Amino acid sequence: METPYLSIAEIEAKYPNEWVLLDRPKVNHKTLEVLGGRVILHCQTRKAFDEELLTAPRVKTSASVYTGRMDLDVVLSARL
Amino acid sequence: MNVPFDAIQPGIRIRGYVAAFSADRYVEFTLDTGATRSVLRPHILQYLGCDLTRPISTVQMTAATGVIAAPVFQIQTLHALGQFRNNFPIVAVDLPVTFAADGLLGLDFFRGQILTLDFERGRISLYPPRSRWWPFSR
Amino acid sequence: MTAQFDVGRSHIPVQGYISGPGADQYVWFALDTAATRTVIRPRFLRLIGCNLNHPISRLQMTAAIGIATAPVVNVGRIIALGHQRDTFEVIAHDLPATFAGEGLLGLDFFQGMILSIDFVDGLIALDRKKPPRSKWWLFGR
Repeated sequence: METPYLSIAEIEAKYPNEWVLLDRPKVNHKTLEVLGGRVILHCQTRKAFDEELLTAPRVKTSASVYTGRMDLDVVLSARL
Repeated sequence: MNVPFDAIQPGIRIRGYVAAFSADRYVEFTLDTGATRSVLRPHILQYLGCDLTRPISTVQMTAATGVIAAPVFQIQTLHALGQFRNNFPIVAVDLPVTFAADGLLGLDFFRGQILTLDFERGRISLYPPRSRWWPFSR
Repeated sequence: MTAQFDVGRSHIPVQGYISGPGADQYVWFALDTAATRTVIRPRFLRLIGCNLNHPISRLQMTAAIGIATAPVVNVGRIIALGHQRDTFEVIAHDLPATFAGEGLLGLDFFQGMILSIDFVDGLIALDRKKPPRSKWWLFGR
């Protein structure tokens, strides 16, 4: 059964502070802001999200969204 | 093109779109002028159809464990900040789990452009140079 | 203020100046928009007299290895790109050995300002005011 379309506000309310994968996202094509979609995967940690991606249903167009706020300061120093 | 960003949230988060062999995805990048190359998490590239065992090349990068060879994959399209890059090489790097973004938009995306970050209004613009008289005329 | 940089380099170097309780130092920063805070190698902070054993606070942050905790100290003055910040908090954290500079100029330095980076001519401009605009060269709006 296909999951229903949810707006981004509904997704944030239903899955707070989670990483969410959306199928057939609705997007503002100018800013690429995700406006909503059909949730096919949601996880509370990035690690679990990355792992479950391997077995998640393959869809043509998806969007990944984090519904929370990362408050930690960041110093990556990725020297490529 | 002018794109808003949340000047209060940690980091400059940019929505982007990447298309590879079998799928495409709207992702979130962090704008990173400290990264020479643009980066995506390996799982995302794998989901998009890239064979992680067959990169087009490798690049040397400094990781926590020392210098490692990171694989590079070519994606068909990268769209961000109103601009498109076709057949764009992306480095696959496992970013920290406490880091929210899917990837980093590095210096390779901005070459040949003028990038303006307005931290007062929370806006980013990226344009190819059209005029030599402002603000960088010689 | 406009500064030049070599567009062919792997990062954007910015000349800076830091002063501490005991000394001051000209340093090279990398302009790093993924760093939310300005970072300076601990040995340079010790050189200018900062006491890392008694920092003003310790900060948990996301680093390349994961979550790291680093001391936060005040430098008396930091100057870069023609702008000065007094009593500025910086993070004391080591940077990769392959990086030649002494620190990362992070987003905290640019708060409230407009930063323009010209990747064609290799110029950086940092200003508080919006630059003058002429509509004829703005396209696609």
